[in-house]
Amino acid sequence: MFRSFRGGIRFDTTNNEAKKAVIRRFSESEKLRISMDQGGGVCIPAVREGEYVLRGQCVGIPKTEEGLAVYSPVSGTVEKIEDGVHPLRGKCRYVVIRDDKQNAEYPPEPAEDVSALDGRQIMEIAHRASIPGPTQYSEPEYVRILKMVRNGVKTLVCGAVECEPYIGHSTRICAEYAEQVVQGLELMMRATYTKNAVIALSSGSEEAERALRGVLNARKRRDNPAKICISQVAAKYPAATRLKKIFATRDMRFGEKTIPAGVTSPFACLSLYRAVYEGKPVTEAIITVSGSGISRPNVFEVPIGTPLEDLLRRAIVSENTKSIIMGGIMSGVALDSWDYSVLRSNTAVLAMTEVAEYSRSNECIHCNQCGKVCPEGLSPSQICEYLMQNDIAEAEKLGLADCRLCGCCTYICPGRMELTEMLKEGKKAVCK
Amino acid sequence: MTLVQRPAPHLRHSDGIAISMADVSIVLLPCVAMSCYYYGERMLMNCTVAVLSAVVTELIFSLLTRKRAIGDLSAVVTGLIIAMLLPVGILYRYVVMAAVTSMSVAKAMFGGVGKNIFNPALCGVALVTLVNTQAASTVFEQGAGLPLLKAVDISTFTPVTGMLTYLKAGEIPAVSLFDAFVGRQPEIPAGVCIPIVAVAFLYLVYRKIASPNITLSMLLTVAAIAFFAPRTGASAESVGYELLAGSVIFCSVFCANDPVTTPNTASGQVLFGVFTGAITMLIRYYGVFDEGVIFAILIMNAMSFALDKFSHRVRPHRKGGV
Repeated sequence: MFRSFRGGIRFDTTNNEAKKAVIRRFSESEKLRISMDQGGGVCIPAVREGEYVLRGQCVGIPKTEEGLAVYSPVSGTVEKIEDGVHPLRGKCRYVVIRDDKQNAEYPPEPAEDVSALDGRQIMEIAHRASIPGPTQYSEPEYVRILKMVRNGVKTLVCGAVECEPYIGHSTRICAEYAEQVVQGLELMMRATYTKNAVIALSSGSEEAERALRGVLNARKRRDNPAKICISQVAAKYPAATRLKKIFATRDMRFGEKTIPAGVTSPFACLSLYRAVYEGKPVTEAIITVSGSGISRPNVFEVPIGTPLEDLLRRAIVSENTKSIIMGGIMSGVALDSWDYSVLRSNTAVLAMTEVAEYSRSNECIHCNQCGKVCPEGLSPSQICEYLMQNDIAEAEKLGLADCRLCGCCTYICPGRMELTEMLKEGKKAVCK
Repeated sequence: MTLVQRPAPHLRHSDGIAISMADVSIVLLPCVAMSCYYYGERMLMNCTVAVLSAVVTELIFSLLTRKRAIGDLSAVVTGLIIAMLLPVGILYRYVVMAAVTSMSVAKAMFGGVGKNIFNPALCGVALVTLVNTQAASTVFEQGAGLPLLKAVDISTFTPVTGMLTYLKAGEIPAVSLFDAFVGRQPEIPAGVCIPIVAVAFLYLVYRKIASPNITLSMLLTVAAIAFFAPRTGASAESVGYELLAGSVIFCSVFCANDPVTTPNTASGQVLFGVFTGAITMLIRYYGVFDEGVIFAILIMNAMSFALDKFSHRVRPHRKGGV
């Protein structure tokens, strides 16, 4: 089955090396700076300076019950607890742990009888194991599961579509941990009470497809009739955020009402598998390290808190790197310094030697290229025209609220307008 | 190492405004070359004069308004279109007048690239038409060997009657439809070889610079009016002559697709095309001028914003739902 969607941008991903790289474990850093805000609520340090922690031991307790705890990725001594700057959210506290390389593990608590677990229990395991959502901006996975149950989703989509240049971790996870991903997805289906699941792939991930097909066929033969199929999605950015709509089911009982599909990620499936079968919480992130400033693009499995600089040096970063982007090239955040550490919710770090042209010009020639690539079918240039006149009501009429800030319009604009930034400001003004 | 912080996305498509203007000039060049082949070196001179005066005017205005001189080729495109829309034997001072008006009054005064309401090239041509209707419609035989620099002397070179004048008089033009199709007819240069214009159109659509909405709806309207209310001859013949006479096909491809001055919404574009076609025929049938397409497009340019607004109201943005 091949699915597509309106608009979007087709990048040339043929020489995307990250999709071919083997996932490497990176554990060379001596000191880990673990942020107490890893996406999913702020935590309070649960350890004292000088205390010895084990791998998998809780070092940060969430302030609220809904938050996710932070676990130590290594065994070692807590050297310092300090205030620092968070790459996405301003300030947070950091727990600095010196790795003693002993890898002493906190006793894991795998589920005793996996087949006896019900959906709620699986969701609670996902909560306890601190499984992050698919992107650095999303909610924790357990909240997403809760919402899927509440919305009554019929299809669960495991999105391994990678259509941006440089990115390749999801494809690699599917290729190398196919068995775990499939089993994790089955657990996820039980947690969300869905009968069907789809693993969405895009072109360029043939290796992942082969691996997944092998696993699925073997499971079918073993008489395990979970309905998981593989589907090809057009390799257009932003396919990953369109999956909800692409695989939506039409519910005939309520007329034309469509139910969006639930979306999860290969990393979440893998983490859920590890949490349920091995009892291990998420202490590592699988991230792509790539970009024009990286001579050896790689996918790393890194302990959280690893300094970005160590990671980039390992991937051989160019001396004339001009910007470092946390996340994908289309929607990531450009960092202001090198002194950050890996977060649980990170998916990619890119080092770029060239910086995109930036001009807040308004040389709109009304070519409507932005309207043609907009996946939501908006006309960004017209919305921005109203926003420049501070006519927010008229901008909202044209669908400002539906903009997902994917960045396609800014990418394509021949007049080099900063449409996405203007739309973002407009959305902020609406919220006020 | 200091890092540069920019808002997302951190990547841009390589094509800027200059590239799309370059695309337009590239597809204009075969048309210009073809008309140079038909009308001789005076046509080439016309183009040079028009392009040079357009570029110089733009430079002067970019200095006056202290805006950086925009390196795009929009002045070149405007100049070429002006040369294509004025008859070959016209005095050079009228070509300069059209080019200077288009770049100054119709473009720079409105605020430069993207801010103009009316198509600059058409404004210039319209002014010349109004100032000297006679000069703007006097055409000479193809390959007549017009002098390169001197004014054309009417006693040595007799003006011939163009297709539009025949149609205006209610007669069947003296050229065959095939000759008109390949451009072998005394006409303004824009009536050049239709296959070349068609290929140019396809290229522009492929490069997503032009949308087929306006061109097709405009030409279909012209054809429909010619079919149901022929000025002369049988319906089918009338359709052929009305489409091939004058510059309606050239303008529907190169002028009516100017993104700045036409609507963005698909329904707005179709309406734009339909109205432009209808006004063209209205002027041709009842107007003073032989050709109506230039004024029709200018009139509809003023309506573009309203058409966009109208189609947003008729088809408001549906909530994303999911």
